[in-house]
Amino acid sequence: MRSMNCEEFERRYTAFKAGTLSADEVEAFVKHQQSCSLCRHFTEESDALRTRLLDLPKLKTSPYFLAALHREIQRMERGLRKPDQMPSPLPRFFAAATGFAVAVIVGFIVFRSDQPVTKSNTEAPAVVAESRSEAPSLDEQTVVAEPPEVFFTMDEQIDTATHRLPEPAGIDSFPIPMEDDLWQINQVSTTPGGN
Amino acid sequence: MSDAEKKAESGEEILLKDATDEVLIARFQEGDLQAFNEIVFRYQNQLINFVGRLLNDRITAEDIVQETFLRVYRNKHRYKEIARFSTWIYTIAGNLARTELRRRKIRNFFSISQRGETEKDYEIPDVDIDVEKEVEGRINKEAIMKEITKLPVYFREVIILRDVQDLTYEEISRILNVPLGTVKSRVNRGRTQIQKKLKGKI
Repeated sequence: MRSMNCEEFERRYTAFKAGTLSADEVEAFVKHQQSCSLCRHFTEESDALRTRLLDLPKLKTSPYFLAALHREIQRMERGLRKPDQMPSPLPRFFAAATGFAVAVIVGFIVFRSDQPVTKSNTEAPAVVAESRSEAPSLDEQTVVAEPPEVFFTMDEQIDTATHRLPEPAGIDSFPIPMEDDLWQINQVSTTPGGN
Repeated sequence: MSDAEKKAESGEEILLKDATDEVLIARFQEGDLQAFNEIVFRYQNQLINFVGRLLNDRITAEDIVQETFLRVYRNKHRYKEIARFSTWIYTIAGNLARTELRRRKIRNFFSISQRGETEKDYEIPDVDIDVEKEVEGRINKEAIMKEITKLPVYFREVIILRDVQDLTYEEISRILNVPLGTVKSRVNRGRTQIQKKLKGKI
């Protein structure tokens, strides 16, 4: 006859309760149970746990469940509800990851564009005098000047005549309250119960 | 409405109540909405109990059960009578619950804040019950539920299906699409884990 140790006893307990052990195994199981007080205690606790689990309070749907379900069915039939509105979390995860990557790329491009760029000579508006056989008069003469190589930044492209450049944040940019403003401030009391 | 019509209607109600799940879904496939209502009536509490215990969150569980019935409604023609209807509906609910658990895992990965504790059940306290026993019992139940929640999902779902819902091993095996031996082993290991944690409290 085969013997059984405590570990195997614990492992086989569910099968024993389900009645799926062979006759040999059942005999070994029962013999071990009779001889081992620890395993007897284990079976008692296991049975008690199962009873407790079966006795757990049964959850019930809320009183509004049926009404909500029928409302959703009506919405679905009218085509107002998208099919399978509980999407998998993966597309959202990838959307978030893509969004983050795009933000990083855009940030990098903006950072790079703030760096000074050398203006190339080819973009300079060169005005070339028309070649004539006779010498031009002083009025017609155009002074051809080679534009100097300059540095410019994005800020210089802003037309300051129509757009105001933002003032740097600091104590100087804080608006100084006028007399009327002070009068309005004084009307509001911060004390509890005050007017 | 004539008496005959009333009788016919009441006769149909009796038939619906006595009909098996498979008969009900067959009638619903033919367009009988009363059969669908009977299915909802039969399964709403079973499913909320399963999903609610699995997620430990009643409100989300109710949304998932609602979605389960909507999927049954929409995909009624997909059900074939090769499996039991209960297996089919539990599979849908279980899949949705697992998706929600995965979503939470991702959400928790990105967010520091955790969601609140479980919603309380719609329970009305019975004043006639012995207070001491009631408190002791409640502590036990809460301790058991806490330990179930701490189990890995693959242990938790078999314990709930077997020990809370009282389904057979064969049914659990079909719902979870895992071999029968695996189900038994998971039930055993899940129970042993709970027992070890609750040593002396049961």
